[in-house]
Amino acid sequence: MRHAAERGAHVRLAGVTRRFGDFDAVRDVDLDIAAGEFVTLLGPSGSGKTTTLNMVAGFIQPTAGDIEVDGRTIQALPPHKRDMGMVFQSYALFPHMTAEENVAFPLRERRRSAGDIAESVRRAFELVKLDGFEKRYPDQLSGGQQQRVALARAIVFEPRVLLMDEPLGALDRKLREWLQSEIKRLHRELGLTVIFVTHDQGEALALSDRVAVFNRGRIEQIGTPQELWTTPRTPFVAAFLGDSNLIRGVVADDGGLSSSSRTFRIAGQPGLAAGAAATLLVRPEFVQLARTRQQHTDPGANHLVGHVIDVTFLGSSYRLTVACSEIGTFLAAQTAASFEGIAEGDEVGIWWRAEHGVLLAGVDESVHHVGNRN
Amino acid sequence: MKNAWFSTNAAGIVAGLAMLVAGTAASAQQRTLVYMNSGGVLLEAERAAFIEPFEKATGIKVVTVSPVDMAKIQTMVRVGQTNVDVVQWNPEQVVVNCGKSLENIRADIDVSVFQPQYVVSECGVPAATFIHTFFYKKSAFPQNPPKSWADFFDTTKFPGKRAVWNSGLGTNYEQALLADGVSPKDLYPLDFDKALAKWSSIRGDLQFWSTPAQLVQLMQEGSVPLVSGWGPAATQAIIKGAEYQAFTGSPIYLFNQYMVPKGAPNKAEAIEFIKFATSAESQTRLVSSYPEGPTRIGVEPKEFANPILEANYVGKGLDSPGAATINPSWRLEHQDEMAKKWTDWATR
Amino acid sequence: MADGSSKQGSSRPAWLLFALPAGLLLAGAMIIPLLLTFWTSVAEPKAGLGNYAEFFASATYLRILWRTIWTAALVTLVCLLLGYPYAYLMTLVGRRTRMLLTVAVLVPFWTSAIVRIFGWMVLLQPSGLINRALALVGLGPFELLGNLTGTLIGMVQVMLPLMILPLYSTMGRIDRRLMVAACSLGATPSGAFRKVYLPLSRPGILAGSVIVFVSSLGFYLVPQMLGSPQQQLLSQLIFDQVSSLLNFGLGAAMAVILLAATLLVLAATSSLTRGSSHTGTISLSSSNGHPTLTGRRPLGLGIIALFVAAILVAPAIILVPLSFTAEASFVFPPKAWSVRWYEHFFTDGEWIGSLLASLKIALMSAIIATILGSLAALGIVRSRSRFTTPMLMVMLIPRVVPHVVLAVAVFAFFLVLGLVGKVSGFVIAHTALAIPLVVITMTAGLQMLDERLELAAASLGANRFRQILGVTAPLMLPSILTAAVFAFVTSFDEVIISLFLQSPFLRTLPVKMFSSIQDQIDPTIAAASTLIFLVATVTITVSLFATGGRHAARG
Repeated sequence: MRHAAERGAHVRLAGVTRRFGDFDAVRDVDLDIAAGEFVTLLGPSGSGKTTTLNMVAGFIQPTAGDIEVDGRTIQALPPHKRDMGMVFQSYALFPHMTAEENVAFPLRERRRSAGDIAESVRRAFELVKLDGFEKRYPDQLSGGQQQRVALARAIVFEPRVLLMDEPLGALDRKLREWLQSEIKRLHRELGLTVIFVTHDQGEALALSDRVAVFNRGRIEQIGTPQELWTTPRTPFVAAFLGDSNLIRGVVADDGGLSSSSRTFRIAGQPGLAAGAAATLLVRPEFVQLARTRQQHTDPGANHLVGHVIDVTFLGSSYRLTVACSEIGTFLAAQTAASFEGIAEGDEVGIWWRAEHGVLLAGVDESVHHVGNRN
Repeated sequence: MKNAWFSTNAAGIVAGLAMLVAGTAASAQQRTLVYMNSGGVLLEAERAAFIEPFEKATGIKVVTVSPVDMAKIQTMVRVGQTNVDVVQWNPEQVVVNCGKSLENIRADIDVSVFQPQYVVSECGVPAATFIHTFFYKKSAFPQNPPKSWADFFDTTKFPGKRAVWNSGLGTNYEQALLADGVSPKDLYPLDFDKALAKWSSIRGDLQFWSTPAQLVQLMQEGSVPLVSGWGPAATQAIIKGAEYQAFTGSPIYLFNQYMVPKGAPNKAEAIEFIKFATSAESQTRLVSSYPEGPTRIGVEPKEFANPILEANYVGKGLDSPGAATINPSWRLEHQDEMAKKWTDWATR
Repeated sequence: MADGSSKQGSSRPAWLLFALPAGLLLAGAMIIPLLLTFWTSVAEPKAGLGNYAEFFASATYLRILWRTIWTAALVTLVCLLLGYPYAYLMTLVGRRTRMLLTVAVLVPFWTSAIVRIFGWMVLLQPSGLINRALALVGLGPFELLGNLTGTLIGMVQVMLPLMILPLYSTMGRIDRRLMVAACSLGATPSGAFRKVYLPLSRPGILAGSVIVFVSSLGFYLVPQMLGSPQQQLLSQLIFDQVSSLLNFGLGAAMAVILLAATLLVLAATSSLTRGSSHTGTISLSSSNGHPTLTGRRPLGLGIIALFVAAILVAPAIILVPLSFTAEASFVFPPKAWSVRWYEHFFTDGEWIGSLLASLKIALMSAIIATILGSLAALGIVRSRSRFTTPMLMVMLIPRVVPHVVLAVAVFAFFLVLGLVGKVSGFVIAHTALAIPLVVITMTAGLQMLDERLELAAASLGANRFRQILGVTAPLMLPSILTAAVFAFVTSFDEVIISLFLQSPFLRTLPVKMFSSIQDQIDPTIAAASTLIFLVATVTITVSLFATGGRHAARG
């Protein structure tokens, strides 16, 4: 196998558009993926992420735009000549072949010698930690095992790009988390470029170097998981990644946000003109709760009062839903360690520091006002 | 016998059901009779000639069945469930089955009124005569039409397909032997090998038909220049507009018989029917409207329903030198051989 | 009664009692007669193996046996070559086109065999439409009737649906993304087809081929009416032996030989299918609208499909104009038009009588077969005992045994019982013929039914009887209706056994049509065919659109 450094390829999408009839499935997508980078295409179903992946794989031809690998366009290449490994949502293992035959398939298609094939297949099985299952048929393997066979099949011929289409969607949570770490390990070891499609924001945040958030056929934002979480550019991105409280309003003269009844303080948010429509994002993780109705007098904080209508224990943390008369339901999170034993029905005070509020341009009617749970 | 009681009643029930199913107004008490013949154009002609007159005269309803299935009759007789009263079929069957599956009806019907050569068994009553010959398409040979059985087998002088009845029990052996120069008087015993060798000589030009309906259909289409077989059906086709001409020089005469299966549920009606069908009036009506000849002495049609019928009338050519008549007693003894040798040859 | 709460997977033989009535009927109507046929073959005319010796000593008979096998193989091959692309196309096209293609398959499937054969006779005759069309482009005329060509065309048309349906049902379950996957792994599109799609469609190929081959072995009507003596097949020989040569012993021996050949083929292929247990497709989650590799539809595929659809539908369609001819012949196209043949059909006592007889017999057979067959299917599915497979095989006997063999056997037995020429005789025989179809349909339906629903009903206080009546039966209603329609059509279409069972007073419509074709030039048969064809087309179209609509509503 080649050295990790030289394995991955540089993939570039420029102005890629795909139209089905008069519906734009993908519109003007630009994406520059560095060699060896792990990029996730994240978005709700129908947002164009899978169509984009299929265009990279060559299963769908773009209506406009160009796709390049290492600076050379691959538009004219049929799928079987693109040399990209692909893992499908449903694994797409050939049911009439054993696991071993499945993994050997791409090598046979490339007319490798028998000895070469045997050696590569053995190593691939080792790599996905599935040695001993070579002779089984897919229907004799568990979902996770099938997934690993699919993975082995996609990497055995040493492609420079690995495409994965919701590969973990059908698995239960524990298995999914374990496989996520396995995929991460493989990416590290092999150093190939990975384009990963998912609608699961947790998965995207856990795996990726960078995430491209798709919405209605376009990329809303590209960035590292941390960037996307802390400084989303649009209400959609804010709502799609992690839990969020989104308060709609207009930009106040002092740079805060005035909602129906009041103005929220925001620290140091430049760029938006007073009077423009905007949305204030407050992550539940930054929201503090106090048992008493006693108001904190911290001048840098925003205060609300309400009563708790739901307390959900999530293991490492608690999620509390608070009904505020002023803006509706509001989400707050408390770590298990800091949980104060607040119960349903309790009257509470809510506050967050001004620097923890993020002001987003515009209002997105498609996302919930406040209290977005993911 | 309990069985007989059962079958009589069963027949009554069946008849009743049939009435119900057919939706006719007739009551179950109406006298009926089942008549089996080869159907098609023959049945049409007989219906007018004597079936309908018989129904009118006697009030007995005649139910017709076709085609003739002697095996079924034999089987039904064997288990005591005969449901056919009268059959018209070839003399070989009468002779071979007389006393076994057929009733002896000599005592019931006076056969002295028939030409003696047609009276072959105590179980049979002569029905009608007819010929087997060949027919050619007039437009295919406008100048010099075929004039003998030898011409029928001459594919160089008369090119084109020949359609032949696919049956060893017809007259295919006789046709081939006549073509080979055997005299009509010396046909029997049939020389199978010679006959089949003759057929083999034109095998590539042969096409087969199995039912008279197919023969008529073939001739109406006019795609085959020469056909051989059943004169009545072929003549009917000509009357319906097929542009063919019969070869009349050397016809092969055959005749049919009426018979009554053993245990026929309506034997009395059956006898009545046969007498009616073979009366001078009935035979005259039949032969003047259908290409068959009488078996009764002295029947002579005065006018014909159609000039083609008159031209092809088979009632008087029996004495012509080229005419041949089948030998039923020889044929019945060799029935199996005739059928098997033909099948072997035809399916080869 | 079996304990409804017993664990999944355990054997519950008491359920088999449900299969008893159907089993008894099949035993009486089919199995005993077949055993008696076997007996006849060694007892008549003399005890011993004389009949078999005669058969195997005769070059003619052996030639016919060999020709029967060879013809069946040829028909199977042609059906596969034509049916495969057709079924494949069915999986590629949209809902509307697929419905049309399905109708093309099913309409002739449900149109009486007699009607179709008669249609071919009209189409293939020397001056028929096909030869005229060929003449337009300067070809022909070809001899299409009365030879192997005619037999092949007719048999292929009759058999194509039996090939296409299993192929389509297998292909429908193949996840097309596997082809996409193969391409992503470096296979060319044709390579992906050859290495992935073809092997995965193997169960369908096998099932279709076996059904077609076995059915072709027993063909009587088509070779009889479209073929020639040079192409005589074993079933015709049997028919002749019994019907015109009165040779019951030899005929029975030939029937046994035909049956043995059929069973041999089935045994051989069943071991073949068992050997490929891993060809079954594993279920894959739905693609939730992912645009998988868009199925390309090469022009060639469309042309083949059109050709196949034409073969399937043409012989039924041609009879429509023919039925309005004013002439007393089948010359096509008619020179003048009239409705006289319809008038004749509805005023002639024999025609209308045979229609009523057919309707009555088919209705009674359908009702009895549906009840007995459904109970049997329930028993077979639920018992899970080791008798299940043998039971199922018993149920399938009438499908496997060539109809000529059945006809000869049933005729001999029913004669003794006094059932020949009786409505009851027809109903018993036709019910026995229809039970396998009901059992197959209902077994498939029941296996998809969640048995826990019945347990839920039980937990809500319903007793066993009310569980079946209140929960199972309504859920199974679509299957029950399908089964009943199958049973009705089976009886309404049946010719060969009816030919033997008919009496002067009781003749079904197909028998009347058969003798009418043999007997006289009379386009009334075209009118009758058109009526049957219209009824079948309307029924199937309505039912298809009805179920199609329901699927759409479900999403």
